[in-house]
Amino acid sequence: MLCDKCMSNEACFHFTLIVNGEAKQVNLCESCAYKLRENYAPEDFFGFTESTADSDEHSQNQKSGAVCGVCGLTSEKYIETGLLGCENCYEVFDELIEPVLLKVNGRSDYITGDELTSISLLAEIKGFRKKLNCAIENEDFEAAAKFRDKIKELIHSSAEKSNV
Amino acid sequence: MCSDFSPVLFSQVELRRNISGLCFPSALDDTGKAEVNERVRVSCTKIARNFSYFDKNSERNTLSSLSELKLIDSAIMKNDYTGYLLGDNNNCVIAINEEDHIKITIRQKGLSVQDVYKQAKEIEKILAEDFSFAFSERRGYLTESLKNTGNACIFSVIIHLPAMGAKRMIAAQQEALSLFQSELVPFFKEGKTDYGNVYILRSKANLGESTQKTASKIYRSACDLAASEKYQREIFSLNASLVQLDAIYRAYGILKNARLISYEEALKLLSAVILASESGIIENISTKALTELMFKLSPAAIYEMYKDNSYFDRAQISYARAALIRNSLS
Repeated sequence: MLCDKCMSNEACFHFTLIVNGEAKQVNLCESCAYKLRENYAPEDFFGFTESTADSDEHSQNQKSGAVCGVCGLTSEKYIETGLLGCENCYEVFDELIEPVLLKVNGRSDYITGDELTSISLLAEIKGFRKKLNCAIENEDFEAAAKFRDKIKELIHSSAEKSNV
Repeated sequence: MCSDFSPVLFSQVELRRNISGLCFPSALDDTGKAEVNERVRVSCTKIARNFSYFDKNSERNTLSSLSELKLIDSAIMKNDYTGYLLGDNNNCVIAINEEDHIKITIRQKGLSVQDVYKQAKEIEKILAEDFSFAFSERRGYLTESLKNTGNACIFSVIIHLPAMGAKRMIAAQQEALSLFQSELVPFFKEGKTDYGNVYILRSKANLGESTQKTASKIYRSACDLAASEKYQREIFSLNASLVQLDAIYRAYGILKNARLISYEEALKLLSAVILASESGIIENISTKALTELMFKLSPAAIYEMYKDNSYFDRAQISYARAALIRNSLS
């Protein structure tokens, strides 16, 4: 395994560094480990003062400037607290969020399936409920009965799908 | 089947949801929070459970007692417009404006991960008639903290592991479980010390696997832990050393006779006596009653039990605790 710092010598020192509560595995050669000992500031030494983002240029831009137009959260505030302010933050701070989600879950993609089915079913049920109320208001009881039966059917199918 | 194994005390699920189009609670102004609080409470009237509402103005000891049972977050209770609806003997809790707009918690005795999930989903469906939840196809349910983003669903099993604790096997289990994106954390903890060998086995992953898969993983891990605990109890019953037997009988003697006992000592000794009872070393003890008692001995819970008394100091709480234990053992 090569040294993480010089990328040329074989690493012979392996240790875990905690930066902002995140653990990072570090592998160093003897020379780089000595330099680190001489001037002990591991975050600066490795250049990762922020734990939640990659050090690529795009992330740096996001770190310094991005602001959510909906809730007003800044990237600095997000990095400080680790908390998001609204749905829109997920789009604005996407590049900062991705590595954190990967660290927490091992993967960052949402597994669709039952949850999405359930969401679309709920939206459908909601739509039919509105139609049912309209039909009742207009005293169109024949249509109302049809909507009622449809809602029952959807609720039944939703319950079947949510059985684990 | 391991669902009847006594080590598993409770199964729990937490579903977090935010209302689409609104800022998350930390970024929401007071008017917005008040509106969310009101709308969620109105919507919850459609749920067929007898809810009681608690917020920062509720009785302090009641809140502490619920917080010690990990049903509410006492720190967040300082916030205006944060509230909790507790129903069905605290088996169902709906937190409003906690970290997210809505958190549905279902806790039930025994190993019933699938059942608690089903109950939580039923409540979610009722609420979804009134609210659209913040959701994206790429990230799933959107939450304030990234650790919940995705399924926004945490499965937990509360489990009593005295035999594994006695053999110092918990650290190895914690390490092994972390590989499966689960964690095993103490339930009763004061600072860095934990008491009573009661642990929470909890799922951590919310992305990359379906809720069903996470539920199955937690169920299997709970079964494995329960089987290991049962095996260790059997070994303990056959091979307990004189020192271990002495410790158990001393614990039993103290619990049967003490007039004053601290919370921490009570948990520690009860755990030992439950282990002895389950291993057949001490007979004619209701393990179930003692296990339930472990969750009723905190200072706030005892104060709550005797709240009609005008003044209850520390010694009186210790005295009441010791009396409760003596009654259970007699």
